Amino acid sequence: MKPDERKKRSEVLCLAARRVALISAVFAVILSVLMIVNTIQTKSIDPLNSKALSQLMDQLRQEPENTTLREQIRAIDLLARKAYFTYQWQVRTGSYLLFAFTLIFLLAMKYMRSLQRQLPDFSENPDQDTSWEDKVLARRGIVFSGISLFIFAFVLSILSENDTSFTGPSSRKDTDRVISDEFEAMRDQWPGFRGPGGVGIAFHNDVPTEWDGESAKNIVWKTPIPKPGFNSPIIWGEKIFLSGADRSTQEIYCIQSETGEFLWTAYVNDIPGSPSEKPKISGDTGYAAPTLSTDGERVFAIFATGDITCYDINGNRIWARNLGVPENHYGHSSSLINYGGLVLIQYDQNTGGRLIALRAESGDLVYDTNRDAQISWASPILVNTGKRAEIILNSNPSVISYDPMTGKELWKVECMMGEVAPSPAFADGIVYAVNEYARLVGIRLGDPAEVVWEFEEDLSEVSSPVASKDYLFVAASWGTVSCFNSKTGERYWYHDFDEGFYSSPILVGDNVYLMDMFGVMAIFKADREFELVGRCELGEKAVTIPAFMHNRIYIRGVKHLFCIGSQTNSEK
Amino acid sequence: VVILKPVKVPVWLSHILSLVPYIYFGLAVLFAVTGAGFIICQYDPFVGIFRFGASFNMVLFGISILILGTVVARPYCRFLCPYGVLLNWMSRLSKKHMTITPDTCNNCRLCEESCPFGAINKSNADNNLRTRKSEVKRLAILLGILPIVVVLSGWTGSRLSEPLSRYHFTVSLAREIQLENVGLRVETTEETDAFRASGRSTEDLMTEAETLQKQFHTGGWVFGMFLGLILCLKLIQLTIPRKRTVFTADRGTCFSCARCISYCPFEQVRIGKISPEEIPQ
Repeated sequence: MKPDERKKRSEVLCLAARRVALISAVFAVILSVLMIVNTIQTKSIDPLNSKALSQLMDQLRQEPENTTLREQIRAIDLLARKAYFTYQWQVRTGSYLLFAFTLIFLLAMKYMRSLQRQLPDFSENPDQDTSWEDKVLARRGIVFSGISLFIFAFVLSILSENDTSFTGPSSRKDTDRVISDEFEAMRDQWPGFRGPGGVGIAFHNDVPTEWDGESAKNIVWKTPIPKPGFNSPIIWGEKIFLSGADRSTQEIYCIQSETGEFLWTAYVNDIPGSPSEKPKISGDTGYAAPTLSTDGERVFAIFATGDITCYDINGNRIWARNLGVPENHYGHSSSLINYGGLVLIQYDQNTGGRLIALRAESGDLVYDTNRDAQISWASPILVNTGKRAEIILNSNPSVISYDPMTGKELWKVECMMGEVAPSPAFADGIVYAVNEYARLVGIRLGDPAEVVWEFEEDLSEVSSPVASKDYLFVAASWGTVSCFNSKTGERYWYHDFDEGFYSSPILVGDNVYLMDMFGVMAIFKADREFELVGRCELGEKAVTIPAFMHNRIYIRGVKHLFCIGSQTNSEK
Repeated sequence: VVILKPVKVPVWLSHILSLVPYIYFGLAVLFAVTGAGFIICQYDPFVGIFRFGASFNMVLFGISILILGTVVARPYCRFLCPYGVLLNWMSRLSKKHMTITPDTCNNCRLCEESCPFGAINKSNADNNLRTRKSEVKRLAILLGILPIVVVLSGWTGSRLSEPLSRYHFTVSLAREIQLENVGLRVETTEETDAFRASGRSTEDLMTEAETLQKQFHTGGWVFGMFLGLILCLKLIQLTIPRKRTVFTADRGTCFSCARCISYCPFEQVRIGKISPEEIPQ
């Protein structure tokens, strides 16, 4: 075939292909429109659930002998089914046709394009080989990409190392593992001041929200405590531990959690170095203000005299020693905490601050770290950043973190002043510290730790704050409770209660439990808006921290220890 | 399928982007070997559409790829698909491959621009191989640093073992459990609740997670070394001067779509569309 003839033939075929493509496109569009309209029209058709048919069926049930009605129902039912199946046939057939027309359109277009194809014309630029330049560019690009990839991977690996929220198992040493397991065991107990880690979070959440001391509603039992003390109950298994002291005696009590019976009482006396004359203390503090701690095998107690002792859980003394009489104008009140086989003591006195670690099994001194701190009454908290464990202390002038195994200072943030009594709080990588006339600060953990926000109103004097992932709660001595955005420090709400707070809020599931000085427990939602869940009266003054275990609440009043549990929980 | 007129990806860019499937392939093998998951299936933008089970993001990704495919020929196959890596290797090893011309190539260049995938190796018969000496020197340098690059990449890969291992469910669960246990996280998750309800010991979980992290460490080495090797081989490939006397389909990147064949005048003669006299010289 000659080129001219071929060209003419191509033009004819191209025209034919264009028309075929056009016709098929038109048909495809019409079909699409029809199918859409059909779908919209018949969308409501459901032969099994026709409204009209249902009404007629109801009518037939009332008139079962009405044959005309029955025939009418059959006719309507038949029509509805026919319409439904016709619709389905239309959809199926329409889909096939649409597919066919689309295919024809595409093939026609492709054929048309192939007939119109223009071969490249190199006459204007005969030598345009740029393959060499392309290779050079590609090489440079690959080298640049490779280096970028390497830098990205390297930075990512470094960031992953510094990510304090990650606790990759391989990054932990064996000791860390033991300690982590210790933490896990503590979650099920109430081993010290403000629960596991001392951060005020309870993991036994199914507890009552109603009780009344006067009418004994939901009071499972109440037991008088022989000696006074502002320390709070701690619990391990079925045993509750408390201490009491006056000018003449120091005692430790072990009480059956189920019945409230005393299992044993230990008399803490005959300790080498113990002062013959008791130090002067304030009545608001007393001789037994520090809360005890336990590791499940032993229980540890410290008194205002500087006497510290260890008993096994059956009441046998293991060791006792005196740390030196505290020079403390109110009286020593920092509670103990256990960690990795050590008993840790925040011993901030007028003579200076100290962090002391004694071996739990023997009482031997492990370290005695001098702290750049003035006297304080706060208690330590224990956190595990994932990379390491830290014991964090609040005092004037700094919040300081230490390695609990060595006493080595890890970080320090100077942000406090005055007589510091509230202990720190911790959640989601942020430590919170507060003191009245100073400030409330959020300190993000890291190297170095840094203050992420501050607040300076309605601060607490004695009560320690508590934090959840999203919220922080602070209770002031004159009765104001504030809720903050824990990440930004924005105050969401504050609420004035009738009485002030020395006790600290405890986060229990979605609720916060906070007891005022008269033993009235306010229970409110841990939420952005204030919502009171309950208000329960103990019938006795109380300034201690309640313990949450066994689906029950254990509260030490000024005279009694109360066990609170609902009927169902008591059966549990 | 290219519906509209294809836009050619510059050759240099095409070479750079062709590294992406190797990264994807390496990660896919690493995750599969360690039991973290089959990411090729999980992140295939089209499987979910066919199975009516794709997430919105994956549908969006799939549609974006299809739309891109209307102007850039087979973008997913060329610049993402990890399976394409294996096909590339197998194709290079194959005994026979498609040829552009059924007869001889007379370097008419008609096929030169026909390939939307840039998979035609052009003839350089008319060009002198430039700077041959410097290329040989560059090649020697590349061969010399190849072991260093491979080891350095392997080391970097091993350092990524921690972030990579987080993709594994067991490691992730262990991390969550640990965060909860140490009080860094107050709220529990469905996974951690289920784990605690299962009765399995935390010790057991941590041990398994630790073992997995070790596997990721080794896997990270292999993954990094693999990428380093690919990078060097790619550079070597771009450095070796090769004399080509005819136009050929690149064995690794050619999809055998046969578009180029119809451009070849010898093929046109073979099917009787033109006469031998019409073959351009």
